[in-house]
Amino acid sequence: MTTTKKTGSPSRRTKSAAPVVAIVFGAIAVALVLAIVLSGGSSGSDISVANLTAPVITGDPLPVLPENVTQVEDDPAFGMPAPEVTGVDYSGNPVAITHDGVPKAIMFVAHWCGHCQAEVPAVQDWLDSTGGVAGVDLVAVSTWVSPDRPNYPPWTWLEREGWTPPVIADDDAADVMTAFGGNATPFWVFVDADGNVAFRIGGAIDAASLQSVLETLAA
Amino acid sequence: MFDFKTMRLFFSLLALAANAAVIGALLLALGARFSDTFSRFSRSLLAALAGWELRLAFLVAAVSTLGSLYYSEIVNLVPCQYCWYQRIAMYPLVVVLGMAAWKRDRTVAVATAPLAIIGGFISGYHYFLQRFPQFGSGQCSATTPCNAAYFKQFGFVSIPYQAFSGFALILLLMAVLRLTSRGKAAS
Repeated sequence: MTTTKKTGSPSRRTKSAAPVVAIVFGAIAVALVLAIVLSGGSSGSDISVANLTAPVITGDPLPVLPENVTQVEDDPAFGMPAPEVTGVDYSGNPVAITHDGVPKAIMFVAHWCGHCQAEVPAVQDWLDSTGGVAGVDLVAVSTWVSPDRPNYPPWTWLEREGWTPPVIADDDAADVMTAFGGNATPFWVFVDADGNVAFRIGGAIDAASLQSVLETLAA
Repeated sequence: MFDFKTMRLFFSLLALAANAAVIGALLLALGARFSDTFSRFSRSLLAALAGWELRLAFLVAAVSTLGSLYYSEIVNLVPCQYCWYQRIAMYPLVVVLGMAAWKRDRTVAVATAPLAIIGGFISGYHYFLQRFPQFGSGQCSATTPCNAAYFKQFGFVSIPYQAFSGFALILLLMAVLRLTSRGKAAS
């Protein structure tokens, strides 16, 4: 029995070569022309992060939250004075995080982050159903804003979700996020009435845990 | 003219064209089992593609690689962990398919199909994580978010989607290569 192995056998140029080349390069050319034509419009957004007043941060920055922190005391920022921030929201209204004797829950979110997209409506639902916890201020920080990423702009997203707490617009360098030691979103920082860090958590927090933490801070 | 907005739309349109080719081929293969008309058409299509499979597959791998380099080197989108795994599968395909096309080595599918399958699985999983980020880590990092898409053209075409489309089309062309090689061997 003999077998024929076609290794390295040259393929003939067929009569149909021209249509294959025409179809392939025609499709690429059509895609390119369509891309140029369809991308000609502007984003339509008249708000730019660059035009907003940059937040002013005072106080020492907190160390980055280490991974796998299971005990509050294991966080190197535990008990440290939190930075104070004076900034604006996306309408230009002043928003501040200061040591004013009121505990704070600070929630860092990025518009393109899927976890933040889930966290924002969950927290808003909790606020709508409970009214929050009296004696604790909840402030959001919109960070890592990028027009090239999905769900831009953040102000439209937050408005769509019916977000009610005040929002500080972080700058392009994410200085507020860095000052609080965040390296991923969502990121929560809880500050006690004395202005010291009580608790930081990376990732989403469920409504029951949020309520519990805020009640502890308010006590 | 060739800014990020234009180029990501261009690569997204190519990805959709690749999807159309793969889905069309699958439907044609299915139809050929039941219909003589489909069977005749698929045979004529195979005949038209004979000799072009390797060059087309090389073109797909080259465009995918150039697209990936455009995103990272021109637009400065930092590749995440799964992006790198997909690059590991796609980049060698340019060289292997290019050499095979030049040397007309029709046995190359033995090596390239597994690479395309592995790359396709990784890009599919990456896209799954983008659609359902709760299955990955619980957070989004700033620069290399595997579970957050840099963009979603038309609401669903992201970079791993484009990579998956490229791998799928290369796999289809390798299947065509096998079929046309069998036809040649039989004749």
